Amino acid sequence: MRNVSALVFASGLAFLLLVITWQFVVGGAPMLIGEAILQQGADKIGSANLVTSVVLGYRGIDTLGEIAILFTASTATSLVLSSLSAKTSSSKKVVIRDDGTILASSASLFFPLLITLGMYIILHGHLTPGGGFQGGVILAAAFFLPLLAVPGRGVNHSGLALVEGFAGASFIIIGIIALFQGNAFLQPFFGHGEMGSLVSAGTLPLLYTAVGLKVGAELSGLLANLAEIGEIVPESTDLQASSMQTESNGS
Amino acid sequence: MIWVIALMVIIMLAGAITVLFVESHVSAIAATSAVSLALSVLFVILQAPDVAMTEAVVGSGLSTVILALALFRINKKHGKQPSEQNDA
Amino acid sequence: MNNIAFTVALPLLAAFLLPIISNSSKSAARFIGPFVLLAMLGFSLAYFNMLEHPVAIALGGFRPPLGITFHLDNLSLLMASIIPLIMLVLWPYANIEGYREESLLLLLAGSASGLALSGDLFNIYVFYELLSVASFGLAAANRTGAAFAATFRYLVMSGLGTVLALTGIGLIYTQTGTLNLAHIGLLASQLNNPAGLSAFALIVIGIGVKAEIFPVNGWVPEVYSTASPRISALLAGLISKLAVLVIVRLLVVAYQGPEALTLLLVLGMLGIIWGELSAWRSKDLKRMLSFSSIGQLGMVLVAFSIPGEAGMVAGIAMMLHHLVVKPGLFMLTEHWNGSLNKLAGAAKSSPLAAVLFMLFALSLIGVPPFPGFWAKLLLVTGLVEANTPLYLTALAVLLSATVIEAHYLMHTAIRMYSKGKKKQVKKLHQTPFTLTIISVFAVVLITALITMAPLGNKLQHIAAESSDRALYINTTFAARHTPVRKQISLIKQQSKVQ
Repeated sequence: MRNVSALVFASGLAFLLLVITWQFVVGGAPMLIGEAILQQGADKIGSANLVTSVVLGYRGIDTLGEIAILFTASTATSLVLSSLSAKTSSSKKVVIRDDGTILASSASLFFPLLITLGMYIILHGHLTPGGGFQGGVILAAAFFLPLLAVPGRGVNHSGLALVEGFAGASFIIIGIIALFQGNAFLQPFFGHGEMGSLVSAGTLPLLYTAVGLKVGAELSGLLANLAEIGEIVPESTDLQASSMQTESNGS
Repeated sequence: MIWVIALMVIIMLAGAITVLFVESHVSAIAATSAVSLALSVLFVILQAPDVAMTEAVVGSGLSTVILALALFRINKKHGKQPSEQNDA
Repeated sequence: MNNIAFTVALPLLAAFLLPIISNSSKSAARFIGPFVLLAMLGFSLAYFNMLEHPVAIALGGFRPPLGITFHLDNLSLLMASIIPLIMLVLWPYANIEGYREESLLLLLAGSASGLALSGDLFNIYVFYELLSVASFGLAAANRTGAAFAATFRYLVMSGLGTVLALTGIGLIYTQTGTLNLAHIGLLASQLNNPAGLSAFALIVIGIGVKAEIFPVNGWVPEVYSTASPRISALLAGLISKLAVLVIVRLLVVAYQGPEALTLLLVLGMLGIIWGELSAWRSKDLKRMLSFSSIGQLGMVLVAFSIPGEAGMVAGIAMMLHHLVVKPGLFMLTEHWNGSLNKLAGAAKSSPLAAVLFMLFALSLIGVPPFPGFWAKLLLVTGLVEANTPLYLTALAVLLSATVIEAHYLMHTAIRMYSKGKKKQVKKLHQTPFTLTIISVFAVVLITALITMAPLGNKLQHIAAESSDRALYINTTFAARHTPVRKQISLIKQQSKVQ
């Protein structure tokens, strides 16, 4: 029965995709909403980067949903991983090594640079391409690099959870403040400012900062979770094998 | 410009086909990363810098790291060292 | 200050903060979830009470179709009130393990009410994705190997589904240039071509993963038989209905042609046949219930494929009936599960549970005084009135499925009352209040039975409103961001002037 339904499904899908490729007109799409937003978006929100005014203004609640998805995924992953680590940690021990001098020193060299780049991208999200999501991933990379260089190093999970929780909450609270001012949920306020300056576009930079911090903290936590438990080495394994593993990790 | 686009499309196709036929999982993950990187260049050419940044950072950076970490965990669980897999 | 956006914002806020609160005080954290659900219930019920006309609320203060709107009518507010209600009943009050499961449940509640209320196609997609990810976590929360394997299957299928749905939404966007449902409805004529219809098919298949629609429901038996009964009850009862609701909205607003209806009808019929036959053959209580759920969802789909108000009223009735009965049945598996053969003598070990099983089973089959009968009657009259060969085939399928359903459910019930070896029925380690929870569903069912006449009128009213395409479109374009109380008084003033 399962094979039959798989066959029905696959052939139906193939038919649909054929119809779509047959019918699809490249480049002829009407841009009703796109044109309208292009015309009035800059005046209405005051953000130099129009993409940001769509992401945080017109479709702000979608962005809230997106950060919630990321949060849900990391919660679900840690739910699954925590049960695995509880099972394995009793029989295996964590080995802390720092045998990659070049890796370790270049990681500490890159750390401030990556943090600066990430914060720059987040804070200029309303002016230049980029924003909270992209900057947040770079922040996470900055925090993950030392972990990659010196495996088994501890991560302050409760600190990450604190940043994550408050950043997510502040996104929603900014939305609710707009509601209490008699406006709609997540309506931008604080005025437009001068377009193109750092303090402009109302609450949009604040929202993007919240998104960036949340994404950064969440992904650091997720990567650390994966890597930490991955670094539990069976006691029988000698250090030779595990150092090879570090090399292939880094490459 | 057309040559850059053609080059990127060829890199993407090559990467995608590599994923299908390569035996080592690590190489397959690296190939998907190459597909994403070429795609992000295409996004720049199509004047979508925001999407390009996201694709570069998430597609070729983050998801590669997550896939690799997951792969190492799976290998470890089966008692294999990742280096053995690399040689395959 | 009463704004419906709270029903989405509050649970998300609580879920974000739950890890922090739980770090400082575990006992405080345990009150957060129920409290937030009560607040959600309060907001939705307050709107439900004062709603006279459907209204739309523009989030972010941007006029539709540019911004995202929430569409509030009787149907969406009914679902938005049922979500916190059913979650309050199924909430893991006794859970002391940690905050993560509660956090996921809150995220599920928030995304579910977003899905019920949203009037924007991409926004619906975002909430659907959030709902999916939260349900993966919950399905795996059991932490057994079997649950992980089942969840992985579910994850892959659901991932494929979301990609297909997104492709469909993208196709609709390239055809019409808009994402707002009402605006799509205005431009519906542009979707009446093969590409537009395949977009609908892709969305049905994609969203259908959650709605247990025929070709994409392979995950159902595995997940429902490995997840904890509460989660199965939630997924089968509530989440599947929300996915159906999305399809129905799209159908009413944009796809009034016969092709879309035929697609739903055929998928529904296949679902009924596959689900009921597999349920008939299965040897395990949980698997039997999961397959029966697939069959019932097929009936819901057949009901919604009947054109006009008749289909809408039958569909909503079937949907609400299954929403009450199936969680009750799944919660019963906290009492006994495993092979059907071992159920002999179960009635003796817990008589109340056996009586409740009989009640739910009779209503599910559609035996006269019970609500299930009236729901099926609506469906049958709808099919007879539609009166084309395909609909009459569906009628034949439905009636024979009912016979099969009656056979396997009664067979199980008889086995429960038969004499068995005493040791065979293992009492499972069960969470407290299981029987109370099941009784709540039974009481709802019996209340529905008693208040059948006013309930029927209300259903007719809801169906008339939600099958009105012009009303939906006009409501959205009249959206303001002012609070509803003001908006309703404005509408009253306008109607007085006219």
